[in-house]
Amino acid sequence: MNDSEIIQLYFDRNEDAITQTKLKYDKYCYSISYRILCDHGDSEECVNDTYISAWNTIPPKKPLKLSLYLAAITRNLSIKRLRYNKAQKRDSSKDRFLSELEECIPDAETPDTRIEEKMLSSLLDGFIRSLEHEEKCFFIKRYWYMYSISDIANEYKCSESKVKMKLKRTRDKLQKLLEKEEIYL
Amino acid sequence: MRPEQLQDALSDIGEDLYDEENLKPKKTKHTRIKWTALIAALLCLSILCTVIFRPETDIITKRNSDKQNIIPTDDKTLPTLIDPDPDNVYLYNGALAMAIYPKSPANPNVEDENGRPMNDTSEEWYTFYNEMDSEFRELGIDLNGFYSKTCRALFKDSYNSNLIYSPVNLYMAMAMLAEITGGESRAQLLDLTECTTIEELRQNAKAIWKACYKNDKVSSLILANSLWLDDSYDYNQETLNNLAEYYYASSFEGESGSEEFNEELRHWLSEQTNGILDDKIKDVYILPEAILTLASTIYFYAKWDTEFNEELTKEKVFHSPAGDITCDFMHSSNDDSYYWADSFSAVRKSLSESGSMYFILPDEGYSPETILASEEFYDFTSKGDLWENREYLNINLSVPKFDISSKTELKSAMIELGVTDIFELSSSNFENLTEANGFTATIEHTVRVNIDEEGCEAAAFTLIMAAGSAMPPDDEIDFVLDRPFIFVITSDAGIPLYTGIVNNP
Repeated sequence: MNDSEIIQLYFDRNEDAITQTKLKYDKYCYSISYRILCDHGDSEECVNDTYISAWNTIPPKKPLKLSLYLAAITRNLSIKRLRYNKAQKRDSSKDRFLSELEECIPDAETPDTRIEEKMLSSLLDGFIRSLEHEEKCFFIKRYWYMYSISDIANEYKCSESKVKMKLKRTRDKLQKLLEKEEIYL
Repeated sequence: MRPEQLQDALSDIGEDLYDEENLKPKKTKHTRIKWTALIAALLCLSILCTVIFRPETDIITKRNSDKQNIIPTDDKTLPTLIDPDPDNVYLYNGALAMAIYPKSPANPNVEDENGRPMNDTSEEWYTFYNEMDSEFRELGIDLNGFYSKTCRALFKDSYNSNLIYSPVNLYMAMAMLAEITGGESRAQLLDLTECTTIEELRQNAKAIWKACYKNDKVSSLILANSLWLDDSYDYNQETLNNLAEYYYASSFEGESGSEEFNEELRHWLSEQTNGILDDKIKDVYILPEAILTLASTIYFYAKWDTEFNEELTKEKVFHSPAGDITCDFMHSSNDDSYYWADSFSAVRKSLSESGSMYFILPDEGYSPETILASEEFYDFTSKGDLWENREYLNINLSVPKFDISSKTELKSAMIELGVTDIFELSSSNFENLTEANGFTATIEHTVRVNIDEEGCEAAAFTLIMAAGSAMPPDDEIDFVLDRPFIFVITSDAGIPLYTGIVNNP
């Protein structure tokens, strides 16, 4: 079944929408969640919650590309679960993705410089669009899909050091941009 | 802001950015590179010679200084073998202090003659280069002030010729001159380099040297510095040690003008330039009147990240100031950033893990000199990717193949920039080099830049081309450099390595 037919099922409030979505995108959503959580049970739960969220939001939402709509929901739910798990375990250690992203945020020179999340998203959107193809791919794979460095290197048939170096350069550029916009840690 | 906010904000970026259809790798014919077979994609070489003369021979020297023609201006052929070898540390008679270069791990993408990767531990390569530019980043060194004022002084008029300048080469040479001078002579050089103390300048020079350094068998960028001292004077060993430690400069002592000393200089130049200029270096010599010859070279070799398609190279007319000429134009079509400003537009072409080359085309009615005198140009070069007026487009780039060189006497530009005392008998002060006094200096800067479409000996390997699988951009632009233009080559860390005006490719 193609995406527009599945979306039509959601609009018709036909519960087969979830069955068809699961049939087509279960593995895809699971892989996104598992890369973040590294836990089978938690990932399955997040994927199931993704379908419920899709059912509750379509309509009124009408995704242009169902896979990307589901990917965004799965990512958000998985990140929330990861943070919840860490809080429950009272684990103060940061996850590896967060500690890398933290490098991008300049140290505070003025106290409490806040930015609206929408503005930050728009800033990041523009920044990512300015990157070269490979830089953009590596950045999205790493910080949106949360691929490991070795998975990225395998996919792009290059060395891990090249991936790390490109990511480092991109983080340096992002730090420069955040500094310019006076966004501090 | 917390890093979590950054992670959350990524959730709301445009869907097309994380659409995996748009994240497919570009096709590569081969992923490994045979280092023994590289031809220039971008090959740049600059030599900055500062000569300090005995006072009584000043007039003779000025007459003779034209004889120092280190870089050929007519030779259009370059050898195909590039073999940078950091282990090849030569030992000279008369070496007073020797710089020791860091040993770089081979690039993980390089294979040896038997087809085996030369470096199995890619972690080592990453860690090495990450550490090399860490000081530059941590110190927040900004060369834009030095860059803009020196460019403005040097690019006042190209006289319709090609003109090239290496900012980082001049910075290092001026820093070394500051190290050997004292009093007002040093103060003027500190002002030029925008440092308040010699300690700050040392720290900056070392950080810049390290951030530029690349020698991993795929790309090569080496700032090599040396001092050639006449043995009839005594020199301050502590200063020579500082030059070796902070500027990676080696010092040699001998009889200026003697064949033995000349031969050592030629040997050193040949090694630092990978033998490319051996046929010309044989004519280089140290003038008998010189008490010090400071030779600072930059050798830079890099491949294009995405190469020009050789089959598309065709003859086309270039509208040079002297009239229309026909030359080979290289063509590429890629998704990349296009920048625009009030009086120019620009595109960037990335170099494989070695920085970028920007091509800047003045708008009709503007000359390259006008652009290089404007504030906007330096605002653009300092911001680079963060320049506001930028679109991600499909860029059809046409650029003439060129192999150009220029030779500039820098004395008048230096005087304009406030460095006056080292050129005057009555005021020059080289007290940190020697107790003797009454010397004057000349500075000559010679640069050669060559670009072509290739990155390998045969088209059979390392050609990277667009797969056509990425989502096509909404718009595209033809960027044709068929009239005088500017180029800027920057290192990975954004340090300006070369800037030039191409009037006659």
